[in-house]
Amino acid sequence: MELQSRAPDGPIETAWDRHRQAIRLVNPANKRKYHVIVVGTGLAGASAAATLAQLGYNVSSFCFQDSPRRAHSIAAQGGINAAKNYQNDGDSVYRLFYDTVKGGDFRAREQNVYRLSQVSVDIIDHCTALGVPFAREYGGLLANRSFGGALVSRTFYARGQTGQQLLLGAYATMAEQIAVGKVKMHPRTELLDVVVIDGKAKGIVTRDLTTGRIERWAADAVVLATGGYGNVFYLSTNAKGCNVTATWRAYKRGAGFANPCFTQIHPTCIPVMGDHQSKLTLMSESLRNDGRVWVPKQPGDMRPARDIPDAERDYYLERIYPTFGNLVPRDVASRAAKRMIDSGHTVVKGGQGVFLDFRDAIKRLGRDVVADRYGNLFDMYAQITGESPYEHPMKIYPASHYTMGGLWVDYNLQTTVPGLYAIGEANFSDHGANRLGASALMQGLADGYFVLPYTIGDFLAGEKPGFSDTTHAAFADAENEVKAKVDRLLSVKGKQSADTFHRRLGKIVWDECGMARNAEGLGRALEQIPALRDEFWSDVSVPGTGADLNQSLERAGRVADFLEFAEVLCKDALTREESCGGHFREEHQTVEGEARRDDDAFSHGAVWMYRGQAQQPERVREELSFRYVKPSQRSYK
Amino acid sequence: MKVNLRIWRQKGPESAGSFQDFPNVEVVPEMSFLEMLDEVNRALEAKGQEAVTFDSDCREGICGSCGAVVNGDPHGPGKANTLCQLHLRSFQDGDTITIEPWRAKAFPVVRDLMVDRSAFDRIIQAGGYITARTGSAPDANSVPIGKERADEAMEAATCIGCGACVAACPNASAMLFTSAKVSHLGLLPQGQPQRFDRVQKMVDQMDAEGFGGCTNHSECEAACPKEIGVKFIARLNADLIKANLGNLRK
Amino acid sequence: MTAFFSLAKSTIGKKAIMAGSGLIMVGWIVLHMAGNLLVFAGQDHFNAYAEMIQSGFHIEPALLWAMRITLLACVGLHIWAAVGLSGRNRAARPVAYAGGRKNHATSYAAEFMLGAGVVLLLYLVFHLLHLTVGVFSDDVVQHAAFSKKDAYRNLVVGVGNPVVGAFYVLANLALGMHLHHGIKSAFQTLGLNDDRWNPLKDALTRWVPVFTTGAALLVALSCMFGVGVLIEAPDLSWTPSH
Repeated sequence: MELQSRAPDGPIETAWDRHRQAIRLVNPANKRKYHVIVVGTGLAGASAAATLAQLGYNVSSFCFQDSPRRAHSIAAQGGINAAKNYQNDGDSVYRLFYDTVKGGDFRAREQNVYRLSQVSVDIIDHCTALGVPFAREYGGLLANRSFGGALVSRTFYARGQTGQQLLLGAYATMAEQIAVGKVKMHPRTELLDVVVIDGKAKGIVTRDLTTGRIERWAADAVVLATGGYGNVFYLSTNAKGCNVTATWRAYKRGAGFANPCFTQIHPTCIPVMGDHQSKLTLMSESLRNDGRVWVPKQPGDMRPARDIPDAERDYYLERIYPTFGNLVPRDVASRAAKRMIDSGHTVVKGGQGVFLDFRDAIKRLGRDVVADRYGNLFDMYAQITGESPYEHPMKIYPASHYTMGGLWVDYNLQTTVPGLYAIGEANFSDHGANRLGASALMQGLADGYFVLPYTIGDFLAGEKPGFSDTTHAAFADAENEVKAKVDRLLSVKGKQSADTFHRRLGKIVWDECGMARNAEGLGRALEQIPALRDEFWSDVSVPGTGADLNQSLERAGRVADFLEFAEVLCKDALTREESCGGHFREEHQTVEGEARRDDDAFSHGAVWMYRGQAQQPERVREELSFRYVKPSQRSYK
Repeated sequence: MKVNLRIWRQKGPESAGSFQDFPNVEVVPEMSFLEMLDEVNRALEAKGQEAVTFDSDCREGICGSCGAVVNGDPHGPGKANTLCQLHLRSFQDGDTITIEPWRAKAFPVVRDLMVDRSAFDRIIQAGGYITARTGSAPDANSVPIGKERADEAMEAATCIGCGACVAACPNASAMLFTSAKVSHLGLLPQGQPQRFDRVQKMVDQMDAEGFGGCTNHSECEAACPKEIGVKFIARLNADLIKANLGNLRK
Repeated sequence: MTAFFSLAKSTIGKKAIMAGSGLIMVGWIVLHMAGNLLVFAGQDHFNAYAEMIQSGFHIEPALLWAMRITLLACVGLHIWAAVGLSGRNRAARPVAYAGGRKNHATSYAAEFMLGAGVVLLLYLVFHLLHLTVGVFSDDVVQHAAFSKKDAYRNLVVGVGNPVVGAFYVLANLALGMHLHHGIKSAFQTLGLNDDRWNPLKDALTRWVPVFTTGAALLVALSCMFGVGVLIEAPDLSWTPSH
């Protein structure tokens, strides 16, 4: 199978302009004849739905939350990158492009990343016009902060709630379009299948989560903006509801799933406190500007931190990486913490964690300055742990945070199924093997506001508008499959909750396919996951009925998909015999324990194609070429 | 430690509800409140009994999904927290904890602790936006906004739409929510062209949804997880009066 | 007028009308209470004050009626808005919290607003009948017949009745509470909650109730206990001494 990226050749600076010139457009008067389904209402989905509606398309929007405003983009804290160069510090579209390709460890498509950098500036303009209250200087102009992986200050922010503010902006525009009837909103509705007719996506099958009704929706194109799959680890910084179901069902209908093993582990999260834990909370990366990471030199030393003298502390990041110190990139910091824990240096009794200590910062800057910089984060930490970071060092540990992998898309953001698009975290496109801080918001909004609304026209212009035949056999088949699965979940009547299985799956995936992976462990996981899946289908307990609001059923359906997806995730990790970005194979490291890429063998996107229940999925490649940013080994020593 | 739970169970909007008792639930102080409910549900599901329905998503206090009245307090005891940020260390061994949904005509109970807050969405749809076509915006720095004004707009914009203000209000009024939205946009220069039209439409929708009126108890401010102040309600009032008496609507 | 009606449609508009009418009444009450303190200046001064009001401030008798109609309209609008809003407020929570709802920020005054309003309405009616119209020309309530001409004696003797006096005391305590929350609310409702207005709001919220209730209690208790006021024998033939 040949993957057509459709990325324009020629000078990268003009690629997007030339592409827009080359693709087909839909006549403005005809746009209202087309109906587009957008699933998910995060930054990508909300901005796409709003913009498509502004252009004149009829949009149906779906989300599983009770309101589109609650999608998990809302939890993004730090900021959004844009190559505005307002700081006059040498930023440019090219530099943002360069940083992103390099930060992604040379596993992204150059043309996509360049386009992302180009439209980044438009995002800031548009969001400001929508009333997003970005932080400002006293003179009234926009403020910026610095973020990891960049030598310029290009991150726009709204306190620690940038994602919330950007999402509310997109949501408000969508609300306006809902009011005028251009967007039909379906909250508390979950996609359970994608309908493909004659090789093209023509609709979806959903379950109304309030009434349990299974419904068919026809459209001329389907856009998935359903986020990442970080909850495959069970414990992650994702929201409880984040799931792989939409992209997984699309995969099973023919959409290729690219690079699932590229998962990002964020180094500074609050550690697991006990078996009851339902999620992990991120502590902003900015804390590493003033906090010092350390563990006791003596393994098993459980004295209170303040009783451990400096001579008996190991400030391991400063020791191993003298140049970058505590500010090494996320993947490097995460793996270093893991190495410390593996060698017995945990600071959490019966658990895993390292110290992030502000003692010296408080001594140097004073408590007030520290409180001014990090007060709200310290309060949040104290609220969760009951310990004040002013008195005790924070305990932190890495946690699953973001997934770079996702549905494979071409330059138009179209999946391998014509008419089926994937945007935002749901696609695999722009971050390669590792995402830089403050780039997720940028990508979601770039896709939704500025890319998809143009590129979808290229497909629609070739389609007869107004497809509405939900009586087509493909709809009936999809609906029957969905109903059968619901019935099957309800009929097992076993002894364990779906959550219990999710937790067990998460442990397998985290242990064997988490921060560090090796062939042996992945092999183990590939044996354990199918066994767990079998156990799930023979012992899961889903009380209640399908014809009603039933959160147990919702959870079970999502876990069932994670149990299938996890296998492809591990397969991808096993077959990518190199270390790059968030994917670290212990067999492929330098003598110092750093990641070693293999550009000769793995400079490609690995795209998994479903070949039926009984068959192994096929691994196809999209070869990557780097004409502008030449691959080099990352070093932070 | 052990706690006794009294949880509101209700099949649907039209059904009668009642408390179900869960005596001697084993918990640990580090647990979050919702994790305790997870454990209750895990046990119920393992026995084949229907789980307690409640909304929750991000579990870090920003999505606004969760919320229940715990011992008479929306989001439970403590200031500036959502239900997901409440931990069992706020309770004592042997405590009885009463948990019930937001109560308001405009927030009908969907099931158990879950309520329908779509009224908030309709208030936004009525006018809680700035009309701007994608791609038509001028450079972001072309309109300077003083830091203090931008910060105040941000203060209002932090609203997470959880509905605790309505739950806490003796009149089940949505004035704090509506005023936060109106103020966020009304404070910014970009929001001026639609300012007075917006306030009228949003207030009309708020009234149409069946929320009560404000009688200035400030219970909303005390319950708000983002500590949004009633000063924004004053701003909303002023804008509405100006819109009418000054005939400033479109 | 269109603006008024469009405003009156919304809950906030009704509250603005409530606030406006309330503030006009607050102004009247303050003046009225100040006038009442003249009771301590003696019969002549007090009656002269009463006559001044009765005569339309010695300018035009119609002014008295203008004032009365304005105040009556304020009372009417205030009650109309209150009834509409409080009915709506109750309807907004048809199912009460089975486990109760805790208060953290409100005040007794705010919670007792409607109750105090009802007390004040009853009080107003009684007060007008008692000391303006003078329908209680019997010894049970008035001790002796009411005299149109001697407001001083009507007050001192009428309120001197312990039961009546006690009602005045209670009603004026309710008035103080009502004003305390009412003034604060009026500022908030009219959108006057910022650094410019808050000092005035805080001062009025505190001192207006203290003054009005203080003055009323002083007068009522003085009448009841005969301190500082002269209770003379009924003299139906009283005429000003000057």
